[in-house]
Amino acid sequence: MKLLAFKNNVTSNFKNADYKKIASKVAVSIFRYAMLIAVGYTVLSPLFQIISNSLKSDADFMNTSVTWIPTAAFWQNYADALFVMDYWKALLNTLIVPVLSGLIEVVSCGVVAYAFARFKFPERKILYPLLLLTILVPVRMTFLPSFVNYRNFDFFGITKVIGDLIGKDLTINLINTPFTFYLPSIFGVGFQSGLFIMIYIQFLKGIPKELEEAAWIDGAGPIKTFIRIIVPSSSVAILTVSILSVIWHWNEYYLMGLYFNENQPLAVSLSNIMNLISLKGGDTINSHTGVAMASCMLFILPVLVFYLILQKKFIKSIDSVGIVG
Amino acid sequence: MTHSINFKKLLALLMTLVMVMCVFAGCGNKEEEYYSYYEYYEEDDTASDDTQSDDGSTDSNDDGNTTTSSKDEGGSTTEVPKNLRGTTVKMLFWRPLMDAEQKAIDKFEKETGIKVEVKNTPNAGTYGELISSSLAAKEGYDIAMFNNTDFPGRPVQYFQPLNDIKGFDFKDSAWDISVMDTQKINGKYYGVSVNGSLNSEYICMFFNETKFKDRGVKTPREYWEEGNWNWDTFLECAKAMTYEDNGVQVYGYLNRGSSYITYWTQAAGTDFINYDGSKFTANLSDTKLIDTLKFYNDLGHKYKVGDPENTYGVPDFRTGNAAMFSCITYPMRKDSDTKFNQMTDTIDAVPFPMPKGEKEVALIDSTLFGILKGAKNEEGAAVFLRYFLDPANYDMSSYFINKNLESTFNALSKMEKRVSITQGVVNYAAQVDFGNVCHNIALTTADQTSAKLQSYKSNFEVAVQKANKAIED
Repeated sequence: MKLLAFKNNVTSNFKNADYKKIASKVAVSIFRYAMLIAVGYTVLSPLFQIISNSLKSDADFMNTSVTWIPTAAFWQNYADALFVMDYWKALLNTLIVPVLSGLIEVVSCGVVAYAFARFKFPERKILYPLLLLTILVPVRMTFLPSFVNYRNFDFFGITKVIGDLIGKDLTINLINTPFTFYLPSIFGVGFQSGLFIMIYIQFLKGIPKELEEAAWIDGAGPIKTFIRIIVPSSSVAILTVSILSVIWHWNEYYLMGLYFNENQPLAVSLSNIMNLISLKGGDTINSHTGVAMASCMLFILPVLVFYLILQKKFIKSIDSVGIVG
Repeated sequence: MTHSINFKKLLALLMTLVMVMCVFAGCGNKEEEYYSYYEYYEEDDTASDDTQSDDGSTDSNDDGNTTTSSKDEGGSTTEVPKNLRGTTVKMLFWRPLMDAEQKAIDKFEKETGIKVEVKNTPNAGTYGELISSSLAAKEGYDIAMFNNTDFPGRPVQYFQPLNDIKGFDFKDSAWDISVMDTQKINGKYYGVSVNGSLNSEYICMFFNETKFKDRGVKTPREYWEEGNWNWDTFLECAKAMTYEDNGVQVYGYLNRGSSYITYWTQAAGTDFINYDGSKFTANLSDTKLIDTLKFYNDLGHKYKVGDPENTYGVPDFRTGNAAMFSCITYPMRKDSDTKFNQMTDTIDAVPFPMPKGEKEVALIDSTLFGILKGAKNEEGAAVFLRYFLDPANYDMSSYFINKNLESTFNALSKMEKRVSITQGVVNYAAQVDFGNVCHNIALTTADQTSAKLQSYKSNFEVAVQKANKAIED
C-alpha cells in the first residue's frame, strides 16, 4: 500500500515536473515568437507599407478607411515610375558606374589588404593609420578637394608644367565621367574602401602562412601566390566584400549627384523622385505618392533579388569573417 | 607602452592634419583670370554682323554700342549688345529644368546668339555643395539661386554685388524691387527676381469654395473683392466653417505648425529677427510679434477653428475636413503633388489676410538669382536673367488649375512684397532648428507664448551676431 502511495506520489511529482517543464518551454517559445514577430514587424512593416502604397490610387490615399490593402491594385503607378525614372537607362548607368566601381574595389582592396596582412615594410606604420582615417573622415568633408581635383585633374602637377611650357591648359576635366568613381576604386581609396580592406585583413590573418611558404618554396612570387593561393582561399571574404560593396555603391547618390550632371543612376533619380514626377508629368500622373513608392520598389528590387540568391552564402561568410555591415 | 603612445600621437596628428587640409581645401586666393567686359567687347565687334538672328533688327544704344533687338511672338523684347553674341552664360540650377524653362532658354539662344549652359543638381539638398565645389574648381559659372532661407549665408559666401555689373537696369519696372530690397547687403543688391515669374511663390489662403457655398458662408473671395479681407473676417469664416460632419471634425483652418507660423508674423509686419539692410536685430520682445503669435495660438486653443494638436495636413483639406489653409502658390499649379486639380470640389485662393486696417501686401518665399564670384560673363548673365525670369516668355496660364487661381496669382504679383529672413539667419548660425522653434511655439497656449519665445532668446542673439559678422566681413 505504502509502495503504491509512494509510486503515485512519484508519478504525480514527475507529471507535475513534466507539465512545468512543458509549460515553461511553451512560455519561452511564445515569448521568443512574440519577440521575433515584433522585431520582424518593425523591420518589415516599412517594406509592406511601400508595397501597399505603391499599389494605391490617389482615391485610396484619400480614403481614410483604406490602410494596408488597396481597393484595387493600381499597376499604373509602376508604369509611371518606369517612365519618370527613365528606369532602364538609369539601371544601365547604375551598372556601368557605381556597380562596376564597386566590383573594382573588391579586387583592389584585396590586393592592398594582402600587403598589409602579410608584408612588413617601414611605411606600414604610417599607412595603416591613414587607412583608418579613410574610414573616419566623412565624404562630406572631402568632397570639395575631390571635386577640385577631378575638375582639374593633373598627375602631380606634371601636365600643368607641360601645359605652361607649350602654352596650353592640359589639365583634364573628369567631372561627368565614370573615372571620378573608377580611379579611387582602382587605387583602393574609393567609397568605403578602408572598411573593405579591414575586412580582408581580418580574414587574411587567419589563413595559415604555411600555404604561402609552400608556394614560395615552389618558386611563386607574391603576385602568383596571391592569385593562386590567397584568392581561392578567400572566397568567403570576397563574397562578403562583393555584396557589401555592390549594395553600398548601389545606394550611393551623394557623390553621384555632385559628379554627374547627366546619365544619373537609379539612386540619384530616386533621391529626387518627387521633383521628377512633377517635372515629367505632374498633371497627368494619378498619384504622386503612389509613383514614388513604386519607384522605391523598382529601386530595391534588383538588390533584393541579388541578396536573396546569395543569402545563404552571405550569412555564412559574415559568420566566418566576423563583421556585420 | 611608449610605442603605443607614439602611435596614438601620430594618429592624432595625422587626423588633425587631414581635417585642417579638408577645411582649407579650395580656399586659395589666387586672382581669377576674368574676361573683362571690354576685352570681349573688342573681340566681338568685328564678327558681330555675321551672327545676327533671323528675326532681329540692329540699332545703336546711348553708349554708341550696337544692340540687337528681337521680339518674340507674345514674348518680351530682348536687347543684346552685339559683343555678347557667341558668348556663353553658365547657370547652376537646383533641379532639372522644366520643359517650359528649356524652351525659354532655346528661344533666348536663338534670339540673342548667347549660348546658355545649365548644370543642375538632381537633388536640391546638395545645391549648396554644387555651388561651393564649382567655385572651388573655378569652373566659371555665372548664375545661381538663393532663397530667403539661405540669406545671408549663401549670398555673402558665393555671390557678388550686382549694382556695378553692366546689364542690370534697376529702373526697369519688371524687377521685383520690393523683394530684392529685403535682401540687400549694405545698400547693394545680391539677387534679382521678376514680378510674377515662374519661380515666384506668393503666400495665399486656399479655400474650398464648394464647402463654403454648401454651408451658405460668405467666401474669402467675396470679402477680398469688397476690400474687407482681414484677420477678423478670416476668423468669421473659420468659425462658420468649423463643425462636425457625421462624427468627423471639420476645421475652418488648417493650422499647420512648423515655419508656417511666420506667415502670420509677416502679415502683421513683424518678425523674429529684423533686418534694416545693414544690421540684424533680434526682435523677440516685440509686442506685435507676441500678440501675433498669441492670435495664432488662440486659433486652435481659444477659438477652436484649427486642430490644437496640429495633426491635420493637406490631405484633410483635400478630403474636405479643413475649409481653408495657407500655403505658397505652388498648389495652384496642375503639376503640383497636392493634386488639387483632381478634387471634385472647386478650389479658390485669395491673398493671405492682413490685420484689420493694414495695407494689403503680398507675402512671398523669395527665389533670387544672382551672379557668382568668379563669373566670366556677367553682362551676358544679366541679359539672360532678365529674359529667363520674365513671365512674358512663358505660357503662364497653362499652369493654373482654374482662372480664379490665376487671377489671384496675378494680383499678388503686382502688390508690394514682404519677406521673412528669420529662417535664413537662424539656419546660417546653426544654433537651433527654426522649424522646431515654430512648431513648439505653435503648440503652446497664448498665455505661455511669451515665455516660450523668450526661452530661445540666447539662440536668436547668437544667430544675429553671426549674421552681422558675416555681412560686415
